[in-house]
Amino acid sequence: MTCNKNEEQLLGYLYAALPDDELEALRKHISSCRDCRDNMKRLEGVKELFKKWDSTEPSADLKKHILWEVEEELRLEKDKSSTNFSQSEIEYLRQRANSERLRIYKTLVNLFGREKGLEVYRSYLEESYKEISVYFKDKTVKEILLARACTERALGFDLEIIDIGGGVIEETFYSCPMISIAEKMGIKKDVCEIVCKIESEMMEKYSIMKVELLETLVEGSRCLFKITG
Amino acid sequence: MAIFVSKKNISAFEILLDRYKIPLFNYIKRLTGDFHKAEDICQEAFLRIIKKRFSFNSDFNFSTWAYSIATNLCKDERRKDIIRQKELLENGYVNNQLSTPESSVIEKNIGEKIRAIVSLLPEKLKTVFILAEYEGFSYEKISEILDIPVGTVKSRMHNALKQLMEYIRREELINDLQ
Repeated sequence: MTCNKNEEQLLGYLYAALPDDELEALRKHISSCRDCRDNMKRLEGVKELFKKWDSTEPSADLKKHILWEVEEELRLEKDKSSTNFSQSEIEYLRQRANSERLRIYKTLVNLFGREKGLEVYRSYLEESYKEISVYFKDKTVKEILLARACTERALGFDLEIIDIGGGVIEETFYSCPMISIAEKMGIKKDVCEIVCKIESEMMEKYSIMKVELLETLVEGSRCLFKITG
Repeated sequence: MAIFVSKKNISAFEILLDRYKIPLFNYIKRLTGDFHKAEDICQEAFLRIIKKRFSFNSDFNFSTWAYSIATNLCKDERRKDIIRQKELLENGYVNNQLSTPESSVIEKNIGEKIRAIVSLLPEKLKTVFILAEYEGFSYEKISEILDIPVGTVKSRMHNALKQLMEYIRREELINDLQ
């Protein structure tokens, strides 16, 4: 007696492209069906067949062209942003943002000690964002947080891309400014890392955000700095 | 996992470019079936990555985002092709090359034959098949790239395999293996 499973079903099994219950049922069936096992061997050949379609190298100039386009885009962005902020404005805002956060953090740790200080600092962040959000009545706190993030990036905080191997690229955006400030001011790195963790957790909590909204926030972020600065 | 590129730091972008240029180009080429179009779209994809870098959602990893951008650009290109084709037909101009560029499987080597039969798949099935088979993405990742449920990915993959199997039988490609 020959088996009634067709090749399409078996191919679906081979690629795990079936619902889980069907996969499980087929797995049980194949383990006890010689016809299917023979057929599976044949279908492995189909997999091999697909591999015969080789990759192609793009032309050698592709990278050059992309970099040229990207540099041009960044130049245009720079021109555009310089009409919004002067260099001295940017420098002033950056210093104010850094020193303000550090001043508050240091004061709290000095007043309450490390553990309690961190707790209060966290409340401060939460409260301050709530306060800020009053100025943007039509927007939620998460949008304000992103506005702030946008502003910091626009102001050129040190952003780093770190290749940590295995195809993983991590960014250290949120931790970067705080840690670099901490180093300058002699605050222990591990303390700052905790603060940054708390902050990035907060950020994460609020940072689910749709692409379209971000562009409208660029203007909002400028106002934000006027308020906090 | 996230990626930001500082205005001052183009070399950071180069790391990404070096890593993803060839896979993205090949993905696009497999989808469009056209070398020059693939280069143009690939270029546009990287430019869009730069333009939209501030809106990158860190819930996704970079490759998911990049492939999603490339897929959408290919869709746009396909739409433009269809409009161009319609306009030509409305003007009474029949261009066989435009209508079905790869509808015939009269090719010499086996790789070319596979390319030709994959190109016959409907766009949605072809995209899933290429992402799974040639880009090596899991069905979960594909569901993120295409923003569709995993179950839909699986059923598209299965349908793609069924159709490919039919072409393989019709073209007697399975004999080439044995």
